Amino acid sequence: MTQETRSEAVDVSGATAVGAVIEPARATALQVWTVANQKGGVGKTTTVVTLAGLLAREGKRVLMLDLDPQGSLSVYFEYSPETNNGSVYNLFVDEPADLRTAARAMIQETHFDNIQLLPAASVMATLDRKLGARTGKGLVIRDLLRALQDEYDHVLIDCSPSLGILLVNALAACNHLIIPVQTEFLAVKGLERMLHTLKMIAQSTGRVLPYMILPTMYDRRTRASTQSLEFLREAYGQAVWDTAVPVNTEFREASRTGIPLSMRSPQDRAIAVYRELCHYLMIADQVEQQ
Amino acid sequence: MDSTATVNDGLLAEYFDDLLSTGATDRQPPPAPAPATEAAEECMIFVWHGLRLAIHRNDLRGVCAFPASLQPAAHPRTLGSLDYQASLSRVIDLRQLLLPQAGAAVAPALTYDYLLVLRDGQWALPAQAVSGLCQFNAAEVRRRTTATRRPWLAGTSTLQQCAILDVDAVLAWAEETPRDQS
Repeated sequence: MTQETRSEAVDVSGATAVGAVIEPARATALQVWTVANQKGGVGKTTTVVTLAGLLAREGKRVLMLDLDPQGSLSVYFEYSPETNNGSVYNLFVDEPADLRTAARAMIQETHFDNIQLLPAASVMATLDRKLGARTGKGLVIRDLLRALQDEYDHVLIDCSPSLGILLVNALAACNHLIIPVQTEFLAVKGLERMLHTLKMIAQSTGRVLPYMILPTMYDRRTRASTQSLEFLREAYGQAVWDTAVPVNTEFREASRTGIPLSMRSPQDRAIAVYRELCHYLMIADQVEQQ
Repeated sequence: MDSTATVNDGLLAEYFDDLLSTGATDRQPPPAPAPATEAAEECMIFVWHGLRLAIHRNDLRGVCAFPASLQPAAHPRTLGSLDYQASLSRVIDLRQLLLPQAGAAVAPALTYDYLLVLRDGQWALPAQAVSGLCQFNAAEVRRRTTATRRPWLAGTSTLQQCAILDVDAVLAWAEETPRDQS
């Protein structure tokens, strides 16, 4: 993608309000944050888990939605996408009249107070082939969250890097998009794709989705990291979160034990970055809701 | 942005529109095309900047080579005009219609090889290649059933991988005078 395209992609605020119109998800007080990037391995699941831990520690009721058929988030909390029979797949295909009841039957407890999970199932990977671009199927998750809005304070959605029906749903359902970007060259290219998708969806919905780019896996000792971060800040300015999440092997250890690092080591330097981001997003969403 | 990218964007935009449609819009939608009949339709497929397009045979008056030069035309939505079978035919600037955001990114008109003259001969479409007439069965054609922001798109053929133009909408657009030119 060219420099010219990148500049366009950043300017989602200029999207024309044409096309099909959906009501903004922020009509509800429920705060829905989608974590997505059309590149894998940038820290999406880590971001969801860490934010969920932080919010739960503050007494917020959190629902995590695993919309990635690979199910990394589900595996983190010991649910296997291979054996899971109850996932959003059923909501898309069965079209239950009572979304809330159908979803409640699938939502699982975790080992942590205030954190629940709607786990993924591998069969979700077939949704695009099964449904194609059927009218309105991009709004299933938005409708689901409206049905659940009294039961949670926050919903965090983990996405697949693939552009398809699940990613479109996640973007249509949320108040805020968090785009983790590994501070290295290839990840920056993935960001361009993500922002281009965001711009096109904004043109389709007439709704400009606020987003925050979160630089991750930052290693100040390497030139690749420092140059990528510099580039991100130059190219995307205020859309880049102030502080990069430093590379930290503790995240790997946290996933091995199944305990979010934000609960295991709340004073960790990387967690401090997430905590500040979390508070910022909570305030930003409240301001927008008013 | 190259023309392949813009074609991809067109297809993606259609995909997003379908997925995110609630059936309600905040503006007066253009009328949806007439429902498809079961009978096969004969369409002419042509290529415009890498995009495979089709028009119904009944909308096609003839095909000719793109002339070395066009006569200048005052109409802002044309590339120019030419004499075709004793009438003046204006060549529609499809770039403005199909890729309004691409601007000058699409190569200029001189790269065209063919002209598809429409109906009564007053309008024509430029093309880089013409694939010939094809039978489109109703089962392979996905008709536009709801209004979108691309009124020119009557539907798509899954078998031929092409977009079918709504010639009524194309001509209505061509005959309009853009607001900033009136």
